[in-house]
Amino acid sequence: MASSAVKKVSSVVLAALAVFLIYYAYKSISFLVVFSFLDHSLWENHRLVRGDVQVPVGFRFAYFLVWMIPICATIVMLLMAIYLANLIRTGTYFSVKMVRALRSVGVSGVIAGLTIMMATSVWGWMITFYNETDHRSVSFVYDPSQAGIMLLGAGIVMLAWVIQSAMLMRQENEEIV
Amino acid sequence: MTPQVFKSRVQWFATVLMTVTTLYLIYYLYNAFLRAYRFCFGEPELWANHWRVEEAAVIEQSTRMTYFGVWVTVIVMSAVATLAALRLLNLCRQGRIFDAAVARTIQVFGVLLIIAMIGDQVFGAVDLFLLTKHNPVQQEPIQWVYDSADFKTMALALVMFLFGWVMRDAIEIDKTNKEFV
Repeated sequence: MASSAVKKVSSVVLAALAVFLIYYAYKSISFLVVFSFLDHSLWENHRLVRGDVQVPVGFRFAYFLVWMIPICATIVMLLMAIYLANLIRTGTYFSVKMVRALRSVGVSGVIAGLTIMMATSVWGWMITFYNETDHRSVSFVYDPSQAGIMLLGAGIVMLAWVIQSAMLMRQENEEIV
Repeated sequence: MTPQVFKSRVQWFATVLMTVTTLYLIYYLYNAFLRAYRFCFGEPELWANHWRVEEAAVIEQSTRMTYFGVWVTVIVMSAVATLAALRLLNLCRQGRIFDAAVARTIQVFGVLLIIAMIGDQVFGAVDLFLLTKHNPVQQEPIQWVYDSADFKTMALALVMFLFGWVMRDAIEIDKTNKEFV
């Protein structure tokens, strides 16, 4: 249905998204694993840490989980975006598959933005939890980039409804004919 | 569910999202401009006390102005992209759902957002260079700084752009078919 230019561009977008997905997953998870488990000095010598601090493995695991949730949500968002680009590349437009893919991209985008803001809000509290002095409390951290991603995700969910509405209209018209 | 129910759902959701996005834009502009102004001019000690700036550094006014200029350009680019999003939401709110204007606005929004994120990457690259320009010892070169939020936003903007393109093509084909019949 759509021009070959759309298909070509979607192939390029697919490749770019795949490269970013690999880089993002590698960079985020490797840093998180090193910080949480492998190099204890990174936490214990952090600029916010005061005193001779020993962080137990259970707490390190909790920190790891808090950050893994937004990372996983972002990975799902990128995987669904790749799937969507592939649907466009193969010419599968305005189908139930496309509606589901768009909705998944949007929902995972909202979850990713929200969970990153939540993780950032508890970050200072977790880092300084075992401090001898200068404890930080849980405080909401507003990040305009993450808020923007959440709004963008919500907008993409709305676009999924737009397609669904168009599909239903087409179905209704065909039934009348 | 009938198409009319879906249409009214989209209109309702677009109205809610438009309200939230308007509030976001107002707060973003207020907060970002205030931070940029305070950092560059209003409270000069913020720059002087930055952890990458050395004590002996004397920040020239021209450097402050350049930094402010780059920062404000990025803020304006993001605001323009958000205005395009508001236009799109307004079209949906009015019930113009599967429409050529909507498809075009989706594409424009996607492109503007990609440009804004490229601008943010440029700002990230020159940020440390400008901050440490007047350090007597340790000056940082212009260097690319990875910011995953920019790339995530770009990924979503690309999805929007492609979707708008497919939608526009479908509308054009539908129009051609109707003219043919």
